[in-house]
Formats: sequence, C-alpha cells, structure tokens
Amino acid sequence: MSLKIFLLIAFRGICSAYEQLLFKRGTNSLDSQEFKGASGFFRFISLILRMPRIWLAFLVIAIGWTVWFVVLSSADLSLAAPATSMEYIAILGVAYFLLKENICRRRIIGALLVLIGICFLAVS
Amino acid sequence: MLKKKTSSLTFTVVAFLLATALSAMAAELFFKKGSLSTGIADVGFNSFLGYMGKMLLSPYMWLGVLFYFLNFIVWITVLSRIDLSLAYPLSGLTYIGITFASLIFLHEKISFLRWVGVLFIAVGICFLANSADKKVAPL
Repeated sequence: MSLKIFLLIAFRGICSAYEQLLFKRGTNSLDSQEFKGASGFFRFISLILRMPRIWLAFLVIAIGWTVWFVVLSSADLSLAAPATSMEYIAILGVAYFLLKENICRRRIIGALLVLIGICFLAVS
Repeated sequence: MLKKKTSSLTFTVVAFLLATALSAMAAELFFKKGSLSTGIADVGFNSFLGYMGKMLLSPYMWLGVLFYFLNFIVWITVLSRIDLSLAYPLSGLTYIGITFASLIFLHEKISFLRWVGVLFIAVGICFLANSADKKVAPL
C-alpha cells in the first residue's frame, strides 16, 4: 500500500465519520416517537431532506466518493480491511466525543469483535 | 439538549439494518463496475479529470448513486431510533447473512478464515445487542 493510497483511505474515513455525525445530529433534532406508520415515515424523510446539515452531509459524501473512486482505480484487494478499520475507529470516536453517546464496555467489546471479524472476511 | 431515549432493537430496526447493508453493498458493487468500465487504472494527477468524466458518464455509477440514496433513506431511519455507536457496528450482521446466502443458494465453499470472521462478528453482535437496552441518561 503506497503512502498516497493510505492518505486517501484515511481522508475517506474522516469523511465517513463527518457524514455520520451530520446524519445523527439531524435525526437527534427530531423526536422519532412522533413519526408513526407510513405517513409518519414520509413526513420524517421530507423533514430530514429539508435540513441544511443533511445537504452538507451529501456534499461531504460526494467528496468522499471522489476520493474512493481514485482508491478503487488502484485495484488493491488488501485495502478493504484498513479502510473499514479506519472508518470504525473514526465513527466510534465521533459517537463518544461529539455525540456524547453513552458507550459501555460491552459495546466497545462488541464493536471490536465485529471489526476483527470483518478484517478476517476481508483477507479471506 | 438531550432527550430521554431508548436504544431498543426492535424487529423493524433489525430489518432496516439488513436493508441498509444490502443497499450499501449493491452501491459499492456498481461503483466498482463503473470504475472498471472506464478502463483507467491507477489514477494520478494527469488522468484524474478524464477518469472522473468517464465515471460521470457510466450508467453503473448512476445505479450506484441510486442505491446509495435508498441506503440513505433506510439508514437515517435506523439512526432516528438507535445510537450511532450501536447502529454502525451492528451492520456487520450483513456479512453473516451474505456468507450463509452464498453457502445455501450459490453452494460456494466457505473458507476456514471466513468462518472465523463470521464467528467473531456473531459474538460481537451478541455483545452489542446486550448493550442496547440501557436507558441513556441525559448528560
């Protein structure tokens, strides 16, 4: 893995974490209990799509994709594991430090086991 | 401002989580196909604009975008119900689904390393599911 590819993957991980932060902040600003049934679902989606921070998230996704397309063109199968790992760590960091989610020890152990499992799948 | 919220894993949430991961995989697959269809490998500074131009003209890329939008709709619904730190690792559930689907429907041989991976994910999900029902106290 060249340094260029590594930096691109790390950048994409940061983009993913920022997207998720914006998404979660968006849904946190609404009360999910208010949206029941199919009509509630459509109302929920239309409210979400009217939030500026969701559109900022789409912009970040477009940047992340552009970077990812460049990574894909280098066609290296060994990239899946480090890319996933970086996203996991960045997203859990965002959940803990910025969203102040209550992360108990069980959840950390669970997330790490899933991450190890995915890395096994990526190399197999 | 933090509302009182629970992070319980209902049937709907689990079904939506599966839909999220399947649509994400379809999108990735189409992006990869789109990337291959450009015929340009190892994009650098010089080939970048030509590569992106070809990507934007590729129908595969747009199919990928369509699946990503579906993915967004389902994912945002999941996030409205459970914590991000719970939802994100739980999407590992799909890999188990994919492995069993390829064993049962495609009669593929599953390697030992793959089973080890599936086992790790399964145990991890048990831990995560156990961390789900805790009431989150406002900070």
